[in-house]
Amino acid sequence: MRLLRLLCFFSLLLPLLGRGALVWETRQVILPVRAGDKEAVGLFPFKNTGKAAVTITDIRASCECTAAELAQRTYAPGEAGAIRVVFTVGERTGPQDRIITVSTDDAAEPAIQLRLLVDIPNLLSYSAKMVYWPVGGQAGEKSIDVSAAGDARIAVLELKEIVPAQATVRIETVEAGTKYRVFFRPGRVDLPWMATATFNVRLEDGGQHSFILYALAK
Amino acid sequence: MIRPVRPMLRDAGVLLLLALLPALLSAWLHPNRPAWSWHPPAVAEVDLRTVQQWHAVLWVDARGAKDYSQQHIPGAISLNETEWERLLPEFLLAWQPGRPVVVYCNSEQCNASHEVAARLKRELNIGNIRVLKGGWAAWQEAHP
Repeated sequence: MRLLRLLCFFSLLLPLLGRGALVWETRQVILPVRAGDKEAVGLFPFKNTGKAAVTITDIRASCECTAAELAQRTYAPGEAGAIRVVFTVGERTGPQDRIITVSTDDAAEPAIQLRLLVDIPNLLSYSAKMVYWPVGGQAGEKSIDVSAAGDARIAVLELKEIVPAQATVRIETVEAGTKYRVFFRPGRVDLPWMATATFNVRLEDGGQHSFILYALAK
Repeated sequence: MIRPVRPMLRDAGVLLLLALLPALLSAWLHPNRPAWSWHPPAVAEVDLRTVQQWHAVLWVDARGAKDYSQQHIPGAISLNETEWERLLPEFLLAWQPGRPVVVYCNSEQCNASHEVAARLKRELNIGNIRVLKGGWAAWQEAHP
């Protein structure tokens, strides 16, 4: 019985020794991204510290927006490598959290999870991107707040066009440079329609941008 | 011979406590420990059987354009964050107030469906929105 207890105890200690041959410099990379960047690239360097070669059999990312590249699949003892991860920014905004699962033939650690953190800054933020009126309901005015994010300051915010012209638009300054309220007043809401309103923004640093808000009767 | 229950429970408790010590040490010191953080999803998941009982659903395919063009749930609208601005108008044209919106991506492992659903909820204030549990893989399993 005593022997059995000892065996149980030492078997419980075994997980402490469970360390894969691939030692990673880091398992989490925070990628700096600026507004307007198309993609961001991160590196996960590693080294085979074991006594046998290790083959990376598969690399899978939790999003199609994240592509992982590897120069070679098999790493001899003492050999170092790196997984290069390309994150496509696309039209994503805000914090992004991606998991990359690396499968190997290393029995001690056959699956390794790497984490990619990206915070995509916004120049502007919106209380919503759409206003909508129920068909046959009240055709009252509705609004969306547009704010400058971070250190950005708005010099000019103006309507470029609304297509089709199913609603009129007016812009009110809430806090000069940082917060504006865009009001939509529909012409009629007895039939369904959808209008696309495009706005131009000039920032105090000279940057020019445009954004779209939607107005619908449904 | 049957051992009394109390000493057995005591032994089990001692073993559990002993197991806790290396587990905590491992969690604290192990160089390959997993990340701990977990955030509850902003949009709830729903299983396919439940969705099939709903009267009318607007399916949203959050996968990439290539996957969508190969195959998708009949009637699904393509909407992903790589081409958000280009694809959003088509979603808005198809959307009807009160009609449930169900977003899916490839499988349980992808998170594009959660991100697209959360963004629709945040930017368009759409309340009746869910994520399909198991995604496209679950649909294929039910429709071989």
